[in-house]
Amino acid sequence: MVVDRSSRLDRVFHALAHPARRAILRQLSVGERNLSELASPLQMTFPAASKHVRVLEGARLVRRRVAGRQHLCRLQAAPLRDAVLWTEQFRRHWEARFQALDALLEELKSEERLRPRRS
Amino acid sequence: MHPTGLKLATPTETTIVLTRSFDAPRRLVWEALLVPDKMRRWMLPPPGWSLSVCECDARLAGGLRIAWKSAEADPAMTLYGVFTEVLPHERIVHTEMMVLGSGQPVGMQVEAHEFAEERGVTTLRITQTYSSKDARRRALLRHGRGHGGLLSAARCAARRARVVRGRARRRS
Repeated sequence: MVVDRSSRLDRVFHALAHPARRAILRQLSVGERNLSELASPLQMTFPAASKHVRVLEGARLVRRRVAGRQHLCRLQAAPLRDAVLWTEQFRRHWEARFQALDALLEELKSEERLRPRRS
Repeated sequence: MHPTGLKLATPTETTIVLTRSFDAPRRLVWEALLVPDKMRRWMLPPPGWSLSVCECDARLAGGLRIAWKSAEADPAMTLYGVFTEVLPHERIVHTEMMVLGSGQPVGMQVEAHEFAEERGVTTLRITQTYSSKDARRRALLRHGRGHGGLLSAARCAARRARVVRGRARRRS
């Protein structure tokens, strides 16, 4: 289960790694867009934009629905929250270690006060 | 100047920079980070794991070996490394490679520690450089799970990927 969860997050981080895909997410943050609307500000072809959208779909960041001839895309924000959460856990893990280091340093400082270095 | 909480930044696609200040002179921070019996005090293994080996020779070309064991495996994970740059109490660089008990390498990075002291407070800046964007992403995920602290836990590491790989192979 842990593996499933992390491979899903792998896909989220991979999806976020490309500037074009981040731009697509920004556009979708204000509402549903069709593929040509997404492609035009990026100055890319329809198939190229579609490829990026597929990556975002794979990471479950975007949901696409077909309405007539239009492919409408919508942002799915939940996986993004996961990614932010994990980065925060990385930070917290280090902070926990650094707090242990704070305690050790206090000890080393008082040892020195009691027993000044000779050098 | 007052000690500040940990800051995390990702200035390039392959780096993670951790900045944290400590209310102690840099000589003591250096010692706490690089002397094995001190390292054991703050390296905090994940739940169910313990440190079984902690060797660190913080000199140019000096080596590092840190091993963790769990109920299932001893070692469960080992970090091998070599120091590549040593400027006492100022800057130290090492490469490191994590190897699973099975011998499978799971991560490699270069880590630089920089120590700046001002009025008795030391600001430590750790720059972790990964081999690729993907490797950095995996490290973040691993840390997120709690194992990953292991990756950078180590204070030292390997001169070059090839050197480390060779050592890992010989030891496994």
